[in-house]
Amino acid sequence: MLDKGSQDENAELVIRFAAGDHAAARALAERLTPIILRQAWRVLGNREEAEDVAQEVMMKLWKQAATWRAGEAKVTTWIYRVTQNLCIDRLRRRRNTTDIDQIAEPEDDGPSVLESITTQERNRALAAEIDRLPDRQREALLLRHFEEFSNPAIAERLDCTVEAVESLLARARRQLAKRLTRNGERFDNV
Amino acid sequence: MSDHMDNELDKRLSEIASDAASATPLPSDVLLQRILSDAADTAVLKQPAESSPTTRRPRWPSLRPIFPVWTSGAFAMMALGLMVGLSLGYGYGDPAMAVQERSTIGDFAYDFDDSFVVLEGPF
Repeated sequence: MLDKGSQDENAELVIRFAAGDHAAARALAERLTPIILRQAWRVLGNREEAEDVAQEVMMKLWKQAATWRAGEAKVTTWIYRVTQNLCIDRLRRRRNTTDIDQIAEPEDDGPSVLESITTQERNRALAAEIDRLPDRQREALLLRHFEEFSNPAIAERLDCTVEAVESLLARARRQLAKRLTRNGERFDNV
Repeated sequence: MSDHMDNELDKRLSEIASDAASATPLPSDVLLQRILSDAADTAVLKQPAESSPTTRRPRWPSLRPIFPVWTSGAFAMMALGLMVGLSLGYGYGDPAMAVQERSTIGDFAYDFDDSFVVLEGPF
């Protein structure tokens, strides 16, 4: 799903763009922008900010194109990491610029991005729990269930082994089940 | 974790994923235009650097083919050679020059023994 277009095609388009092919730029923008936007929006929960991140990531790709070496890194993997880093930078900046009056209220009190988009009431608690998972567990879970990535593809994104991904996913699922059961959810009834 | 709980978790996760997919914003035409405009600007910035052989300014020839060391090293070697050459060469000139020099230093004039000058030298 996230790997729209084969990797070779993406790399070839980057190289064509570097050689001055504007059609390749359009093709890349159409392929990659929805992916970046989805990832950034899921982290930031704000459309305008997600769009700014998408523009920034693509700008970095245009600048990088001239020195892009095909076969060294997959375009989508590179895009994923740059997007993630830019989103984290923005989240940090948000925290640093938070008004002193807002510090008294913990950020966790507000609904998370997933929580706010969940339409079914029974899933709200689960969505909130997903956002409370440790970063890598949450990323692995989201890539697996939201982006429908295979475990090797997740391993590549997270720069770890397939076994580590399996472990992250298992721990995330156990954590979710445990917390939900503790909160009074009864899976066998639903 | 039991199989039943596992399946239930899968089911709920896919429901949330489906909600997320339908709520995710799609890139607007304005955003795509901004991105393509950046691409065009980047391409324009790159081109003059790549294709400007006529505007290349003349440069000093490189010393690298002559001295198999880096340029300032070559200058250092030249300077050192000059200093060593000068210090070795100084004083080994024409004996007549030394005689003339010695004779004009003092106020009084007397006959110099040339052989003395040649033997002793100016040192």
